[in-house]
Parts: sequence; C-alpha cells; structure tokens
Amino acid sequence: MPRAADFRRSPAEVMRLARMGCSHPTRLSFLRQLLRRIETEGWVFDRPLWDMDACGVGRAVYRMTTPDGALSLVAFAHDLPADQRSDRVIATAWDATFALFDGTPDADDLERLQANVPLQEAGRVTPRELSLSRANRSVRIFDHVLERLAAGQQPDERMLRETGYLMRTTAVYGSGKFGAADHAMIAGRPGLSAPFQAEMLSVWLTRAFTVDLVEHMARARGGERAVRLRPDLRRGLGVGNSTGLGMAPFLVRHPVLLNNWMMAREEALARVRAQHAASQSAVDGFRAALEAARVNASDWQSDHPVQQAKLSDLRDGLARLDRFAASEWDSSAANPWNTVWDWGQAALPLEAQEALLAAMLEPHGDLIDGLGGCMRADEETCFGIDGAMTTAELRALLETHYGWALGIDYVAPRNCARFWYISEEKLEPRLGERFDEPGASRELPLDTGRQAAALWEALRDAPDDTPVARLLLAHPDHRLMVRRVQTTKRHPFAEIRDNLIAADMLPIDLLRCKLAFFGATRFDPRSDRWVRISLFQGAIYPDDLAAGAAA
Amino acid sequence: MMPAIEPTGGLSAACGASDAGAQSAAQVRLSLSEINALCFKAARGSGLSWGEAEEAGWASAWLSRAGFAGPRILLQRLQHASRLEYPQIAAGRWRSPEGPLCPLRSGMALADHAGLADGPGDAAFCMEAVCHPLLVLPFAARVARHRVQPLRIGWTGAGVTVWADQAFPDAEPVRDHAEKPVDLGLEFAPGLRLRAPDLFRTTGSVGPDDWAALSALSMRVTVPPSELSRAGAGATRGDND
Repeated sequence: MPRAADFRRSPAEVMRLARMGCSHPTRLSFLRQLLRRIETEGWVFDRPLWDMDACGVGRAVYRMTTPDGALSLVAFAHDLPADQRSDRVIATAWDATFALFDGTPDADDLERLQANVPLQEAGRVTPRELSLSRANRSVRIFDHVLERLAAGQQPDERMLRETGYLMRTTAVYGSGKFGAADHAMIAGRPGLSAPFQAEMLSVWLTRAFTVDLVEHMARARGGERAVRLRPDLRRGLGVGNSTGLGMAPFLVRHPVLLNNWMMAREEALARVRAQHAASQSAVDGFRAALEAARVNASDWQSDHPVQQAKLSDLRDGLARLDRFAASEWDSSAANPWNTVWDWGQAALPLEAQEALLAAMLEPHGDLIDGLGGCMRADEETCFGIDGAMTTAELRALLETHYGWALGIDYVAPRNCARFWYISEEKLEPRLGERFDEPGASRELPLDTGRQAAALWEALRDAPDDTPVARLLLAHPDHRLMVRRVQTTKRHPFAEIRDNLIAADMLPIDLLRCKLAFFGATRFDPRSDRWVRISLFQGAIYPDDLAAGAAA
Repeated sequence: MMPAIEPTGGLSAACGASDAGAQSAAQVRLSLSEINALCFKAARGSGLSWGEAEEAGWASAWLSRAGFAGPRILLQRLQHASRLEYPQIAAGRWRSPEGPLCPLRSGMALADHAGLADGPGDAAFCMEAVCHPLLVLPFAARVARHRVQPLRIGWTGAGVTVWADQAFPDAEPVRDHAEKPVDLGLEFAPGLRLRAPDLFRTTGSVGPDDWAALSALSMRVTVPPSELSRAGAGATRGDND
C-alpha cells in the first residue's frame, strides 16, 4: 500500500474558513463514535422514572448502563408561555431542562437537581453532573404531531422531514460549567474519553425524551384513539440545536484539540485515497453514502442567502459526482479512490468536495475508525512554553504556519473591522464592529493573524540564537502568540489560517466546522452568526438497543 | 450569578496559611475549570497580558488541585499594593534592583528557563525577594517535569517539594508570608521518595469575599451591552416557530 502520508492535504489547504465552513459530518464525528461504542459494548437502556402529568409537566430519568457504570439523563418538563420562548442565551425559561447524572440519581439527588437544573445558568450543579442543558419545542411541529397522534393519525411527512425535530436544545454545557465535572475527571473512562461524549449522550437521550413526551401528551388528550408515532417517522426525527456566537471562539481557544480533530479526519481521507484497489462492498457503501447525501441535500432547507448558494453548489456538485461515479469512474482501475478524489478537486465546488470526503470515509470503518481515539487532547501537557527554542526557530515556524498572516495591512479598516469580546450581560463571546461600537479596548485575543504579524515584527531585530525565554522577558505581551506559534510545531492543523477580525469573516463558518465534528446535519443559518442544526436524525433510539437494531 | 455557598470542609485543612481567617465560615465550591476561567479573566482585568493571564488562570487551578487556596493566593497578588518586578536573569541568582519580584512573572521566567544554562540547574539557585511565593509552585512543577526530578522550593519557615503536579509541604500549614518578600532557594531532589496523595481533588474553594473581588476584576474584560450588540447576537427572526 502506498504511504498515506503521500496523500495528505496540507494545513494551508484545509485550515481556511471558506473550506471549514463547508464541513460535513463523517463517521469520525463525535455522535457517530458514541453510537458505535454503545452498540459495540452493549450498553443497556431503561427509563426508571416517568412522572409526567397530562400537560407534559413533570420529570423523567433515562438511564444507560455502561461497562463503567450508569449514566442517567434527568429531564424536567415545564409549561412555558409562548412569550418566554427564546433560543437566545439570555433566556431564563425553557420547555425542558436536563442534566446528565453520573450514576443513578436517588430521591435526594432528584430534589437537588429539581431545585437547580430548571434555573440553568442561575443554578449550580456538582461534579456528579456531566452536562447541563435545555430545549425548546419547535412549536409548529410539536403541536402538529400532538394533534395528529391524539386524533389517531400520523403527522404530515413532509412537515416532519423539513423541520426534522420536535425540540431543539439551546445550550448544552459540559466540562466543569456551573459546577459540573471537569472533562479531566471523566477523560480516563473509555466511554467518555473522546470529545463531547457526555454532551452527545445527553442529546441522544433528549431525542428519545422528546418523542416520549409528545406520545404521552397525545395519549392524555386522545385516550384510546391516540396512536404512537410510526417507527420510520420517529427514526427520521433528530434533536434540533440552536447556537450562536458563544461557540465560535472554541476552535481558536483549543488549538491542540482542533489540530487533533482535523488531523484524524485528514489522515482518514489520506488512508482511503492511498488504497490501490476498491472492494465491491466499499464501492457499494460509497454509492449508498452518495445517495444518502443527495437525499439529505434535497431535504436540507435554509432561507439564508449564503446557505442557499451553498446548497445550490452542493446539489449541483452531488449530481455531477453521481454522474461521474455512475458512468466515468472505473472502480476496478488502480487507485480508484484517489481518482475520484482528484476528479472532485477539479470539478466540484468546496461544498461538494467536502461532501465527497464524508462519502469516501463512510464505507471504510475498518480502515479509519481507530482514528477516533486520536481526537482527544491533553491540553495541559501542551500548555508550557519551550523557552529554549531559538528566535530563528520561532521565526521559521511563523514563516511556515503564518505566512498567510504576515503580509496583511491590519490598519486598513476592512482588515480589522471586527473585534471579539465578552458581553457584560451574559459573559458570552460576541463580535463587535470596531468602528461603530464601543468596547474594542477590551478585545479578546482572537485576532490571531494580527498578533502573529506583531510578533514577527517584534522578532525583527532579535539575534537568531536568542532563546524564547529571553524574548518573553522583554516582550511579555507576545506570550500568548508565542505559545500558539510553538503549538503549531507539533500540531500543524492548530491554527485557522484566516484573519478572524476581517470585515468579510463569517462566524457561521467556525460554527459549521465545529458542529460537523459533533455530527450535525441540516446546518441552517438564521443570520451570519446564529444557526440551527439537527443531531441524530436517522439514528437508532435507546429502546432499539434491546431489540438489536442496527445504526 | 453567585454560586451556592456551602459550609467549609474538604479542602480547608490542606489550604495552607492563605485559607485561614474570617472567610473560612463559608466557601464557594468551583470546578477547576471554573477557577481557571475566573482567575484568567481576573488576571487580565487587573492588567496582565493575555498570555500571562492564561498562566495565572492555569496556576490558580493547579494550586487548587494541589490543595492550596488557588483563587485567594492569586487575588492577593493581583491586589498587591505596590509594583512587582520582572527578574533580571543571572546564573544561580535572580533578582531585580528595582524592588521585590512578582511571583507570576518570576514563575513564568523560571519555567521558560528550565532548559537553559541560567535557569535552575544542579548548582545552588536563588530568587531574591519574591512576594506571594506559593504562586511560584505551579511553575516550579513545570521545571520539575522538564528535569524529571522533584524540585524543592524553600523560604523562611517553609518548604514545598513539587512533583508530578502535586505539592508536598515540609510541614503544614505552609507559611506563605503573602506581601512580605522572601528569598526562595530551589534545589532538585532526585533521590526523594514521595508518597502519592490520597486525594485527587476535582474542585476548589473560594471565600465569598474573594469570589466577589475576583469576579469584579474579571468583569473588567467584559463590554457593556449596546443596542447594536444586542441586535447582532441572535437570530433575525423569532423562535416561536
């Protein structure tokens, strides 16, 4: 087999926002990793508590028994007036609130959680909790499904397909937030060591809760006439998620983690491309993945002009890819996967290139699934500065990994139009217009390109052999950027290679990349910094496990 | 929003001198990542560079995990009334002619010099007149990891050995002298056998007054809302759909 290294894409190609903003979920995405583990290890599901009134107000516990013990989603369902329903982080009430509990909660735990979880940010949880989250109903769909089921009918398939969920989460807090367990506490457990597994589990169990809730309310309303949701319609529902700028700086603040996500995915692609031949089952799997991508692209709706253009690119590109794969591609010739990849590079827009990547990974589980284990990061170990590094080496790293940043005129308004900051109101990251809004003096250090250029300038007169430790005594203001630059030495995919304060920077590109790694589909921007997505559409439910259903 | 206050306990015995006093009546319990985030912002809010503030947040969480009152120790440094200096580097003896040394900046320089000839090595090594010496410990631990040897830091009436992200005081409680500068002697202890701690701490405590003071400092990095900022943050349509 040729070395996969020969087929790797470079960070300069991959780490551009325009391409990251076209990311699609793959089989390495975190929710896929979770579902594989649940099935492989035979996690067992039950629902030890369901205490819900006819209006759907009450509480429930969804429990997964894993080889390392139980994990329980504690759900609180509320009666929320319409005028309080907001997906924004400034909301103070929700249709449902949740915590993922480490173990099986007893009566005291439930009382403690009842007193805190419905308050979300205004309450406190403890290291027994692994996540804290909330969800709002998609009112139109929830009411429609409720009405139909209560009347003994199935809901309108088209409506269901277009929205794709009954409820959407508006925040899922993990790792140490509001008193919850730090990621470091659970990172040693195999089931939770990959990124965001606790959060993904919480959302997967929330999906089951949303369907149980609407069926429960339909029974309460319709009595004997009420029916359950048809299994295929149920399978097609996911959980929505509504997310904004709060998530955007994450990829910048966690460079080692970003590197590990990207490198795992890129190594997977390289391994697939490096194969001499394609087995019939892999070719069949690829064609099935392309068909699934085509159906997904046709169901995927968005009113946002940027996303509409991308959807158009995606649908056209997938159609061209379909024709190529059907009539021109010789899967029995040598290096067939690299052939289709190279064709795509020349013939497809970015959206479809990245969709092709996902489809090529899909039938190659045996070859690439192990890479999922490389996607976590021990960030603390990488945190220290290498003070013995010379100025010459630091300069060389800047040239290699920040060449894109060094020639930009950061005084020109278009190149510094934005500034990132933390809002006093909600302590959440936001993006300001430098020349229209106050607050730029409190700018967050997400201006990575500008800082790299400033560091380059500061190094101009330093002798080549001066160690970084000495430089930092003279230039403490560059400490953050020196750390980032040094990180790229062993983590070449650590840095997004675009100016994050430019006038034309789109925050939704950052969101799309991160959400695709989660496994999100149906990316639907509601502005240039606010987006809805769907998780777990088409996946199994916890109660399918006992029945032995496949994902 | 103020986190819930709980009765003191757990950490209090291991917090050293800095956790004593009137505030021990009630403690706010925070996850280590909350301590890191709070102290990071507070350090930046009090004027450290972003990169130094990151280290301050990390150091506070390190101290809390090792059993010290990390947030309180950092706060005392941030509230230090007079100017604290960067060290001037000379083989074996670091000091500043301008005045007492800042423990954060000296600690960072110490860790940065771990692999260099004028950093801590086999010969005697001293940092003169350092205030709030406990803040040096996390950085000394980084040096210990680099050299793969335990490192003992001693000062008047106290000594702490750091190894494998843990702190082993000569005696408890540790006298930290806070504002009063002390000379720190650093010495590797390659043959030392250290017992692994019984407790893996996953949270830390902070007194309510200290919590309020750190929060006030951290709010200095935030920007008050404007009509434009509110308008830009959310979706352009309602959510009742």
